[in-house]
Amino acid sequence: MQAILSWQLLFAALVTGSIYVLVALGLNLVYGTMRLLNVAHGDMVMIGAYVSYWLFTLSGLSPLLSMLIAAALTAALGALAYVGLFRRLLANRQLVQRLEGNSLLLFFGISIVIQNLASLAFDSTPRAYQYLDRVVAIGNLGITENRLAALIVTGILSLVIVLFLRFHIYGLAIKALMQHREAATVVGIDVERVQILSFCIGFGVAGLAGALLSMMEQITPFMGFPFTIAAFVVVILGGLGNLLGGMAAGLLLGILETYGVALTSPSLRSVLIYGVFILVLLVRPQGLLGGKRVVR
Amino acid sequence: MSQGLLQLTDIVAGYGDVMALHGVSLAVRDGSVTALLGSNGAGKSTLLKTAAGILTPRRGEIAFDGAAIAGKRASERVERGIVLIPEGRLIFPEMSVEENLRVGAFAPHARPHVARGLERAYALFPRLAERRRQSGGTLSGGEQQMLALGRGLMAEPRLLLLDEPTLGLAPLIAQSIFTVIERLRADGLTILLAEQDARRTLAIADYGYVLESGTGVMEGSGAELLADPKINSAYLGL
Repeated sequence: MQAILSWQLLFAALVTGSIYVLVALGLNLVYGTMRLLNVAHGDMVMIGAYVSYWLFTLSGLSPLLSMLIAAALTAALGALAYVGLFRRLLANRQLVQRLEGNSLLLFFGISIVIQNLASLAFDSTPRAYQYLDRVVAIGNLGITENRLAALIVTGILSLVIVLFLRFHIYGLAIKALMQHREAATVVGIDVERVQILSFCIGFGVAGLAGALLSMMEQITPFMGFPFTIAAFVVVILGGLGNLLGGMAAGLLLGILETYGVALTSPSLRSVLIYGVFILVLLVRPQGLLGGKRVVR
Repeated sequence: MSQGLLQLTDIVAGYGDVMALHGVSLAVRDGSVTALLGSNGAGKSTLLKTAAGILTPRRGEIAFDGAAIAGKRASERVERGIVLIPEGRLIFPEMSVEENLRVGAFAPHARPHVARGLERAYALFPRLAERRRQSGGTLSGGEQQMLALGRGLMAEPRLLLLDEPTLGLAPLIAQSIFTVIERLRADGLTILLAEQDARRTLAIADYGYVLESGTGVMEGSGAELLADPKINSAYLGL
């Protein structure tokens, strides 16, 4: 029982939770601004992880640097997906009427293609590399350096995102578009540009999270799907379209999962996540946090 | 009337297959207050939305400051200085008053002047300064109208399109909105004002147009329209 109260476990929960914060943010952004349900979101995590894996294995480049390349690449994929596919979907009056369903199917197809291309290119054996894997002691807390680095990076990035949404004109524009699409047009927001930006930030941040993850865990072409699910749970927990609520909910899910697994067994991890998901949908469908419904 | 800052020519526009405007022409002279009168459903909102680029006209030409803008998107029109204060205010409910104002300066030409714009908005509407941290959705109707006006002014407009700015407001607050409109005119802003309150609108308008079922039926100076018996019976209830 003492293990439950250890700093060790709290730290593990924070690392997991902070990754969820970043992954869920992109899902929330793309849904909130365009009502697109991106079930391929976790695959951006996978792509980011492979970018860092290969760059480290082939050229020894630190994942703490290659995470920027991973983010840039997945952000570019986001822009490509928007310009190539979703701009047309959003412009078509008939397709837009069932936008959520249509986008779900489209992203589902994209996800299958990405996963299978990845397993064709990299085969499906789990891969890992060793980087910053020494254990450092802080007080009586023993942690690996890569986890500490990941937590610092996610912490800084989360702070930057919060400040961006609060103070930057494009951050305000993203929130405005999420809250009231027509009003956003009226005040002169360049909706096209804000939508591309949402795709780029969302996908890029997921790719970066994948790069960080690759330092700590084994990667496979199919690692993305659990993150898609976790991101959906986080977004529901935090309230659909509520970005700050989603960030808090990411940490909460990390804590629930880590402590839940520690108290029961690792084999129950999925049961826990889906359990939380179903419970929230039944009891508080508007989300645990925030509470207010987002006006469409 | 060819030297209008805004010139609409033969506009046909509407929603889906239903047209709300059937060939309306209108000019707004630089520096004037132009009134747009008509009953509910006459097409006033449609006309303002078409001018702002929220709606794309089926037919017709729109010129602003001599340049054809019918094909330009709403964001490009705001950048040129055409700003709509929409009916129903369309405040961002979960952003603070100050965030609502700041996002009003999204247009690139307005972005460097955010500080000046905030100062001006708070000077014009001290109530907004008191509530700057409050979220937009918690404001009263009158305060939301002030916020919508303040947000529009943040874009540094040359032409304000005001859609029913006093709709549903208490008489005292409606009066204060009219006072602000006169103040803005005195500052050199050009205003196209759609209003239910025809008498008060014509009293401050240089020129006015009357729409009926999507067509222009009458136009003239504010004084002429005020004196017209048909206007009197239809809109002033005399």
